[in-house]
Amino acid sequence: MNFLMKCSDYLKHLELQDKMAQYLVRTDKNEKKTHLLRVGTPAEVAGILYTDFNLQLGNRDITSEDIVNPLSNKSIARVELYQHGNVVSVRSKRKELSAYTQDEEYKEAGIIIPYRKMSKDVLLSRPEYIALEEMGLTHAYFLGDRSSLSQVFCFAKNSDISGIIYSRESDDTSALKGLSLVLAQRIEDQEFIFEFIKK
Amino acid sequence: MTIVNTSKLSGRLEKLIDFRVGEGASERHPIVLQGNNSCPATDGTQVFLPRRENHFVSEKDNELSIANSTAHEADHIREIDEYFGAEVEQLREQGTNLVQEFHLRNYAELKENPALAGWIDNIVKDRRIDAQRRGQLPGVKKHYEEVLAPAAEYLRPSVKGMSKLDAFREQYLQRSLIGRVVEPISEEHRALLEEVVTLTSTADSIRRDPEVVSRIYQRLKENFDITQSISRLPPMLGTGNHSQPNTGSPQQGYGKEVKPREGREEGKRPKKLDKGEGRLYKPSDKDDDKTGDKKDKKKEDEGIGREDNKDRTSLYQQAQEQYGVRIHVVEPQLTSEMARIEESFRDKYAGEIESMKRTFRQLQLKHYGDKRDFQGQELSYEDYMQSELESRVTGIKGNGRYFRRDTQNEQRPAWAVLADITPSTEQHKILEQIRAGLFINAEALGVTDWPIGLFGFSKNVLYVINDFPERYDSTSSNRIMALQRKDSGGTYLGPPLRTVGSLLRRQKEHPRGITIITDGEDQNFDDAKAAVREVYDQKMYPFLVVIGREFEKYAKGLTEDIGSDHYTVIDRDKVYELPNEMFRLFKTFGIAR
Repeated sequence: MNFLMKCSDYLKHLELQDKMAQYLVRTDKNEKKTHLLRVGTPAEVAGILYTDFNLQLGNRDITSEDIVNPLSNKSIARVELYQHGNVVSVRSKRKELSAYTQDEEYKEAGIIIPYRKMSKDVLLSRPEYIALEEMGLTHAYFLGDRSSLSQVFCFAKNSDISGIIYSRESDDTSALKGLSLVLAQRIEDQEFIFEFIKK
Repeated sequence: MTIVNTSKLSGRLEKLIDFRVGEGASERHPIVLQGNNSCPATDGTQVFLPRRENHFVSEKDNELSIANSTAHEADHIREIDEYFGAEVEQLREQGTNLVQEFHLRNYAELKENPALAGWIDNIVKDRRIDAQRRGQLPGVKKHYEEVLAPAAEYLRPSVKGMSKLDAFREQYLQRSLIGRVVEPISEEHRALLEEVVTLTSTADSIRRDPEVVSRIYQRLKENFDITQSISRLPPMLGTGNHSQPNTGSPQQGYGKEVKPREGREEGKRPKKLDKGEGRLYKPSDKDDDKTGDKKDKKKEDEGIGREDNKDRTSLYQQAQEQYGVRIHVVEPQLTSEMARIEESFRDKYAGEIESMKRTFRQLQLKHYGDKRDFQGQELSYEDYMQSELESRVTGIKGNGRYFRRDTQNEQRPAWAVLADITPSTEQHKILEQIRAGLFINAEALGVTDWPIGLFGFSKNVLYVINDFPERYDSTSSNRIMALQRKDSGGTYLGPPLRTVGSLLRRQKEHPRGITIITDGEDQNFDDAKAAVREVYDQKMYPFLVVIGREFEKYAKGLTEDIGSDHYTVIDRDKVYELPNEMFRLFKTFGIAR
């Protein structure tokens, strides 16, 4: 987790970000888990998914994964893959919180939210992000005022991915929304695997 | 019909290789894109894929078809890893083609027709890995049943007119890979077919393959004359090429090394039932008949079958000594990133390439005869009268319609493109624009059958991308993408230009021209200017294409001896103007109308 904390430190000097809530998402290949953390002192686990989103052969249903409360182990939301034209969507209480569609649109509650996806090369051309290269920065999403999210930075190291979500509102729903963007690239890259192993 | 570009799927296909072979496998087993109509293949290390897929109407089906082919080749690699075990890494380091190695180790004994043994081995392996993949992956099974199998069945050729062995091979292929035969099996071979298909299904691992293949080979030997030449069969959709034994090598082929024609009648050539269309890795659409005397004759007719082509190395040595320039032949290499860039170039400059083709085509048409028929053809009365006379004398009626070709003469140009990759071009991304200009020129010239030379230059180093005797193909475009300066830098146009001139001078075609794509800066300006003049005096047209308006003064200076404006200046963000500007130059200097 340390390197993500370090990333978040690097980004602190950016304006406004100190005032924003920060969430971390990180997959763990060894434990086959994904953690959703609320950054603070100390950092708190806001949710756990029992998958690292590396699609594998097996009898598990790969189309949906529950996000559970770490204490009660009860489902707080659900991540759905390749359903209803979405690459990945996060649903809570039967409502779609956010979704990244196959047409590369980002939606919150069904409304298309404009965003800019910045590639690694573009980001690294700006001095304030150069330090993130060693962290495994892959890309980032910059969202406008219509979203409660501000920026989402995505990283990859070996088989694990992670993301920092900057949110204008300090509620866990924003973190759940950002999960779609953090996972989108990984799920998209595994489109064929998904097509082949789905029943 | 939708066309899907494989390069756009590269990230997803790499994940698929990781999924089938193991984590990180896509780094060890890179995807190499071949021609548009090539077949998926592997040499045990790399995965060769066609640049595009367009068999199906739906984009999704085309994408899944490429994905399935990638998974198929990845499965071959996994089996090869399993077979060679710990030895595999060492063999790969030595650059061994593992598919060939497998064949050499297991089928060298089958001397009558090792090519047939290799072909059977391919079927046996394909059947097993496809069956396993369909068993494991429901999505593959569905795609196979709904899309691939019906299309494959549709595309298989009729066995009518084939030799007995070829007909049996085709039906064995259909029965093993599709599960049924399209046409009825002859009574004579019904039992044999069932027997070999049953044998094929007993090969449950790569270690069993040699034994099973040998038994099938023996059964064919007992029932057919296997020393006869075997025809090429069309490739099997989704499982790669079955036109010939699985070579594992797109360029050279298994056949050349283990002599598949060994033991057969001399002078007998394999019959091409599909006119070579199903052949794997043909370098370009126009280059599908590369074997036999026809090609040699054609080359001789075109004046490119010269002796000096055989020894390019000594020619390079001569030039190096004479002009003091080092010649470096660019090795083709294609990473998925480069493939993406190439594909983006192809998409971005599709219109420019097409216009450039038209511009270059104009070079062919220069001289016009005294009589020109605007309809394109005119009646030859002399031939008509002769025909009438002959028909009256012989009683055999001729068709009485004789036309003479248009009096327009066709020329056969030879063209060189010399791109400046010196450090001065690295500023403001000029190098990328120069690469784009080179790519546009090369792609346009590549569709012709003219000798074309593609070169890059830096500090007294000439980088050879495509020399005149070579055909422009996907390897050449890979080399353009791989073109990188390997010297300390410094802009000296003179020696490389003289060298290219000396190579172009040996071509017998006319007109001969050199497009120099540069920023125009030169550290030995007078020498560069003299070289431009020398090339022009040797009846070659040098044309400077300068990228960046600020370099116009250099261009003007370099060409002032040969014509007031033998150059064109293109703004950095307006590479799309290249075709029009080139056409304007051609017209100005009268080499095109």
